[in-house]
Amino acid sequence: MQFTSDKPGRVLIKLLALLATFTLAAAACGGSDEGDGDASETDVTNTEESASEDTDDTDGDEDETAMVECPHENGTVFLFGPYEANQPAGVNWRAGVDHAIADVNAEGGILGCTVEIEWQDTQADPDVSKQVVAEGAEKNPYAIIGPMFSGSTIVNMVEAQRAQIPQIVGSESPAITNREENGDNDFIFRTSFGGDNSAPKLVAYMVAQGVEKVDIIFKNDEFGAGGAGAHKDAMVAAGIEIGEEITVQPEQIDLSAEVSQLSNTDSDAVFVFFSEIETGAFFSEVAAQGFDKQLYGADPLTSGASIELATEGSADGAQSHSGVNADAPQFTEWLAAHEAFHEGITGIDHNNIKGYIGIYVLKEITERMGSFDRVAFPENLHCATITVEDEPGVLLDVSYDANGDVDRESFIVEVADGVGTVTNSVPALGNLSERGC
Amino acid sequence: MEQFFQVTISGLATGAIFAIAAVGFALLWQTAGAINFAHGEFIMLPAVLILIFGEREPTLGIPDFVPLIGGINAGFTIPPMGMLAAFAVTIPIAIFLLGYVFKVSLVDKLLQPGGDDIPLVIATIGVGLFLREYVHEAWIATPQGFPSVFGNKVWNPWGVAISVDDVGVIVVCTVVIISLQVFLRRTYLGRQMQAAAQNAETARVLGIPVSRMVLYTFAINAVLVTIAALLVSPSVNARWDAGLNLGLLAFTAAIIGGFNQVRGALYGGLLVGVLQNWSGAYISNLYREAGPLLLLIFVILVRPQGLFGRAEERRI
Repeated sequence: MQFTSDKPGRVLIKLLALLATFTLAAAACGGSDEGDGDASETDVTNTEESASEDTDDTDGDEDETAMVECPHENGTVFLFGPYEANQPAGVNWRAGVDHAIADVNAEGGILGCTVEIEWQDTQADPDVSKQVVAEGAEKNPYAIIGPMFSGSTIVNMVEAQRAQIPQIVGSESPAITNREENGDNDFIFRTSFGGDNSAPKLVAYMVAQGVEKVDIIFKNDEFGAGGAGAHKDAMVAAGIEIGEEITVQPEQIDLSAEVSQLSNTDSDAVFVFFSEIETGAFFSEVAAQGFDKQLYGADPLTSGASIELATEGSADGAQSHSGVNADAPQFTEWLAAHEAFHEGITGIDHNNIKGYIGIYVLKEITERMGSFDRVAFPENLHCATITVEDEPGVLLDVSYDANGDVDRESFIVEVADGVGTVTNSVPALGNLSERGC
Repeated sequence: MEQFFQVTISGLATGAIFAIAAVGFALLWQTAGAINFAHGEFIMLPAVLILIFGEREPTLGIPDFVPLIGGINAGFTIPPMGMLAAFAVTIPIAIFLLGYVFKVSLVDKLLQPGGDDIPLVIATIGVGLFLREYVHEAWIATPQGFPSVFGNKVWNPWGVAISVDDVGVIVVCTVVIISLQVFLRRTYLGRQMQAAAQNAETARVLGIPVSRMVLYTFAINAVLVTIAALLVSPSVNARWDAGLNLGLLAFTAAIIGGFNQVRGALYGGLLVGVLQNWSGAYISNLYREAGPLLLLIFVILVRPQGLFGRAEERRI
């Protein structure tokens, strides 16, 4: 067959036009179908197809780190960090995360990609936090790191879930990982115990101390009501009688009426479930009124930030169950490094550690997957155990259940001379098989 | 009964805090015809300065060439000077910034005798927002503990715990407010200041230097907010957003007591503090804020000039 001289040109033009049409059509349908064509888009995509493709791609790799393309520009992996800039808990969380990111990057990043994070202040306001997380999700981060306040997390985590972005939080309200209450959220993960996992440990300790009747005072928000409710259930189950139950408004500074009320009951002890600001005010009022009942609580009760806000010596004697504690011997080396990293930092507490651990959990699971796959991330972290041998950055061996809750060794802390001091360690519950695994 | 006394005395102490904050509203209205919605932030800012000078190495995001506050950046630090000395250092700074600069830059331009108050009200809302965000960004976002100048000693007469700080706050607030009342009513200068606010033109005809009187008013207000900062901050901490709630409660107290009477601020503040505690203790903590707000609504409906205020007429 002979062609006239202009035919090859026409055919070539038609072929190019056809190719261009296919390319445009593929782009319009979402580039993920092309798989490996553009790693910066596909590796953090949220489609099931790309998830399986990415996983398949990595199966045969000898050197995964070398083969993985970073999901964001300039060899980076981008994270988004909503936090409470006006709250000690939020600031400490950020300090821990920033420290971990610097350490991770110094070690070569995650799968060779430099970690970057953009922080946004949620102002500890649930509505603002929802907006912040929604806007953050649109920036296509690999993960959302924060926030701390349960009242915010319970509202904003739906945005991360909708965008299929893993969200690692410092919040402790039981509802956050309760699948009946959180819309079956696969993407939410804690860095410390929820109230329902923490409660049995503290209550067992209280029973051992001979406590028979307890008053409960708590902050009237998601964190306080959820945590106090979980502890109340555990106390009732353990045979401890519940006396007065008193609520306090968030950031309430005059607690004289409440402390006076607690003084006039016949209970042996008081269970306190506040954030740092209310805890500081509570300690000051307790000292002012000469209140002498034993105080039990969760991490904020003995945290450095709470003690700093209280009058001198007023926190002494308070005891808490602490998921992680900067004063435990296990964290001595980390504490020195953290103080060196944030020169002049004060009020270091469990929230700094939670932030630090969160980044290393993200790193370890991502490296186990061998790719930046947001959809595959939850199934890889649910029911996983990360030991310190696997990844020293997790600081303590940690296991995750099927809902995103953690289990690990924890501590009983008592304030002495204005400093939270670890007095006992409590073993991990070790009941993952009862928690969906 | 012990609980009742405990709750009431603590409420009086908290109320004294609201009173010292509320007196600024009453003073500015009574002597300059101005409403300052940045009043809470005017208390917050001296608190931050007192804490920085008193306990911390100074840094406030201010350039190095500012010797005292920017000193740490200039290669030297000043040692913490203690809270009372810091209070004394803060007073002239407050008079300059919150008195002179505020008056010259905003009040003189926006508040015309017999004119509309709204531009100044809106401007002060903006000033409050600016001060909050400045401290939030330039200093620190988290609450900072603020020691009481009276100490932490507690007395227990008849089983009721009374802290020396509570007593100190009540006594100082009462003395300051009564002194101010006496100054405004019994001294020539005080009466000149009130006359300047009530009718500037007539005051000028009578030879009263109106502009200077208004400046005195803002200078006195700056001293008052610095005193309030020293007394209030051990309870509310030194924090960027402390002024928001404090300003609102102080405004409520001033309206309840009587906006045109300095002593009304005292009574209004004490009433709000006690009502809050009674509501929290004997109804429910959920109604803690509701008690004072119900009273506010009642006062506005039944006695708009406030429980201890004086009915005013204005020619328009």
